[in-house]
Amino acid sequence: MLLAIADPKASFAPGACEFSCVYREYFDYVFRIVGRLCGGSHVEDLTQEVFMVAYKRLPEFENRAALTTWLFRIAYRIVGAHVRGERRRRKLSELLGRKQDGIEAQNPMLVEHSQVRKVLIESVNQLPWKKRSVLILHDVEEWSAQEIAGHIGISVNTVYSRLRGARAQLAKRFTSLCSSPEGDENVR
Amino acid sequence: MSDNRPSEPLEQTRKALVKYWPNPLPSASARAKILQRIEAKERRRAWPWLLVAAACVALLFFFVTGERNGRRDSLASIENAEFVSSDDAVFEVLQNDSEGVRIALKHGRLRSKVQPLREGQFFIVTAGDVEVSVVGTDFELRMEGQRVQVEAFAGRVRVHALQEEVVLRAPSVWPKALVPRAGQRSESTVDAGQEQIKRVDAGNVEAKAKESGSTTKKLRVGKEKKRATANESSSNFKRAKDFEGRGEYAQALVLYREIADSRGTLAQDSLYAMGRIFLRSDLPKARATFAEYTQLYPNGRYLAAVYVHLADLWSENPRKLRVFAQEFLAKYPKDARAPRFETILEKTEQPSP
Repeated sequence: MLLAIADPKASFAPGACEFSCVYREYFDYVFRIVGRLCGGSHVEDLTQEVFMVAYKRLPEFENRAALTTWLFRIAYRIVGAHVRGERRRRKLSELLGRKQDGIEAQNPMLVEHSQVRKVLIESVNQLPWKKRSVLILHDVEEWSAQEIAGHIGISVNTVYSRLRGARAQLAKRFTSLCSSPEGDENVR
Repeated sequence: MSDNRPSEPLEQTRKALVKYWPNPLPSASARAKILQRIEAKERRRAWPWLLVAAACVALLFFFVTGERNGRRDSLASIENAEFVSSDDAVFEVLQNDSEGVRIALKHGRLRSKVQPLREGQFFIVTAGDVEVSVVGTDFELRMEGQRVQVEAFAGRVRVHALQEEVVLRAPSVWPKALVPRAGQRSESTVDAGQEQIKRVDAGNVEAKAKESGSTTKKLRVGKEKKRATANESSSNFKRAKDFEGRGEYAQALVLYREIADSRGTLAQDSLYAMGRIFLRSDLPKARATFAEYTQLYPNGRYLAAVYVHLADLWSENPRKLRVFAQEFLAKYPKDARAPRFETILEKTEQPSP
């Protein structure tokens, strides 16, 4: 089941503690958010990047939003850039006809996992970042549409729209991959 | 919201997603590792700034204290001249007074831009056995080990090197390449920008030195000896100047005599300085010293001043006075002091028989 993530509505008094305090209190939250959004690959590097940005920008934090929201937005941008970059590299490799590293090489957590998981992750990786992030936050993290809208900075209707699109695309891709001879048995 | 629940065909996908989507767990080791990496990155980010700050502090220190091998202070006090020296330049200001400036370059490069000097004033830079004197010019003197080179950028400079004397007219370099200045010499043709030049034939020197190992050794010993003597003379000259400045004339005279007898580049300066000291208390000795100067240095840089002193010293003797006046006017007809000697000549004119 889902892990309990720190309360997204938790507020943070500016100046109450410095970066070390933020790091200590919110490391687990950032690590889990980053891990979920990126799908388990390069989690440590991305978490480090998030905290590097937080370290530089902490003096500018004005408490207009909760600190978790602020950290989430940093993580959202960094993971989004990473995911888009990965997709671009994948497409370029396909165009150049180079052999891709297997998904296991990108994500060591998947080495021992079943074929279904691989198919699922490949399917999610095909989704555009905006749809993918909403899908993960809503269906996996079980955030409400209002919470997602507040954190990402979009309207609730946009959240639903993206969610519908993401689900449809994922189901189509996932079922087509699962119906192939190698994936069929694992799904059943 | 009920409409955000997936319809039945999508439910299977959603369940698979919830079940199989990776869920990396934060660990204490990951927490420590990432914090370490952030700290290391921050330290690396701070390094260039620390280096820049350290460099600024060092520069500030050099410019404020004027340390920089003690060069800025000594040169800052020299009026009407600008200097640019190489970082490794080592030199000493031997003299800097109303009479003129004398600098000894021990190593490196020193470029001097000198404003036109007053009548009788000199500006001399020496490097080993090479002496460069100037009257309003821009030149650079380079010294690397035993090799010396002079480059004139503007005006004219006179180069004295052992037995030779060269007048360089800008733009010109003497010698063309940094060559060892010792041993065999050969005359070469005069360059367009040079009035007269006797240049060291370096190739010839080296070829001959290769022929005989003992010759090379002798040359090297000779060069080192000359260099050591030149360095010793320059430090003695400075000490003598200090003694003179403090009024300790006896000590100054001993040192000046020593330098004058060595016949080095500072010999004529020392002899002239001795004459000036004797002017204070011992006029016969002053006469003898200045007379010695006129004999030893018939083209010396102090000759005009020496004639003036001799004229004063022999003012009671019309015959001698007339001789000095004639010699002075023959050598310095356009000098500012020439009218005085013309008057002397008129006054001491012998009636025709």
